[in-house]
Amino acid sequence: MERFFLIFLSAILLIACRQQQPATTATTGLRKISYSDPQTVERVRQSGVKILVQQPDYLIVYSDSATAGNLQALAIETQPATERDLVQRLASIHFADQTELQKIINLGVDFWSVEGDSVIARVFDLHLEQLQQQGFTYRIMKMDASAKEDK
Amino acid sequence: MKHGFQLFGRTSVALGFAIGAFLLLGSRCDNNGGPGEPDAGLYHTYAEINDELHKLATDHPQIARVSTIGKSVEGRELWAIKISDNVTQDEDETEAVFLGCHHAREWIAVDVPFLLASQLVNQYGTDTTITRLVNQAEIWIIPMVNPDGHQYSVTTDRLWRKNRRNNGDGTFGVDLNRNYSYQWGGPGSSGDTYSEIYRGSAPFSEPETQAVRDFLQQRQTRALISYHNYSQLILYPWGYTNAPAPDEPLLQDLAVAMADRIRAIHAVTYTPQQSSELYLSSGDTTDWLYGVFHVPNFTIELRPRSASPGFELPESEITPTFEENLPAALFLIDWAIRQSNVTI
Repeated sequence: MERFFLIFLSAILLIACRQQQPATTATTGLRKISYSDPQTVERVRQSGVKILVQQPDYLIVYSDSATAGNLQALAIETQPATERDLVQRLASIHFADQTELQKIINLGVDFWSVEGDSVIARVFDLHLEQLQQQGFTYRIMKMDASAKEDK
Repeated sequence: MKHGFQLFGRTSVALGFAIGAFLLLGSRCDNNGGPGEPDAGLYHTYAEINDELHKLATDHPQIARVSTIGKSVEGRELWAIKISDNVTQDEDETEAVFLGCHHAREWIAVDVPFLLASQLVNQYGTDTTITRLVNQAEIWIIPMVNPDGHQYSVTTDRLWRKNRRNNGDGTFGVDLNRNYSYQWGGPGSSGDTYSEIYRGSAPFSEPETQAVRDFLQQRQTRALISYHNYSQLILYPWGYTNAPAPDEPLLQDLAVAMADRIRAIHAVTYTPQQSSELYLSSGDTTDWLYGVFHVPNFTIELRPRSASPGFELPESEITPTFEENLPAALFLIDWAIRQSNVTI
């Protein structure tokens, strides 16, 4: 009887713990893709999803219904991303005038401050790519803006 | 043998409870970053603000009353403290409002309005200026507009900015200071849910901004300060456009007067400027209150000046930051009282 009670108690606790984990069943939205070879990254790019974060062993992508279908067609496996996977860089981005500053802001970066002729902002790798495409120069101050000390 | 089995059984149950407690604590760690009560050091957590606001009201029932203006997306109360003589009555007096912490990581923006409340209550009857202002005005202070985000910043991610809305796509949070309706969706905000400046699915989509809206719509607010950090700026409307606001000279004069009073305390400079001079942003508190109700109001970006230390302002700077901002807040309340018979 007591064993049944113990098993029952453990089962309830396990279910409770599982329910508190973030869970996303849809394949659209924020997804994590583990990889070990650069070809996978290239295939992910071909799918048209937004690559928010590129870490050495995983990507965090944002997909809509169309690009999620492309990922499936390319047989790229995804899993739900957790908030901890969503690494942002701390960057100093050079700008020449207010028009350029506004272009940086409108990308959706996490503006912190203006210091001299640079914006200090927390950015995704996606933003860095967009900045580069638009001709901005930047310096990464911390690879993980949330880390206490950069490694 | 039977006795031995009972002993084993009890031990198993006790072990089961121990494992259960461990798992439960473990899951709390996953969600909150650590067991027990969140700890923000000398900065106030949500629980501490709740306790201390109620203590102020309990200790000074004649001049302080705590109420809730609504609930956050996760169900936390949005506490407001009203400070005035005859506090239980809704008198025909000028109202000034002070908001804190639209953005979760801006911890000093909780403590400055809280310390303002504390100072007004504790110095009433002692300080002649404070006594007069409390007698002549109804002062409302809401020190934590974004309690869910703040809690998450304390327990899990120090740099969290938005609220804790589950956007349903694996991302969380809406930038509350891009969620107000005036010029919602314009420059300086984002429609991407993963962006830190995500404006939400619609104007006033968030319960926190709805609560502030509903509260301010019911009041006769004459002036408002919304505290943020960092950069040491005093920003006034407009934010969504570079065009000057209709009352730009007045707004500028008030901002300059507040900057002068701040500088006089610790020789720290806060730069007064139109919000859009920094960059264009849309859907914030100040544009909405000015655009819809024509109320002069300001965003004060508190210490520090630069990214080092940025949002993680040392605890040793809490008191001086409050001290320098106190005369600016008192000045604005006084100005509101003086304007109470003037239509702007």
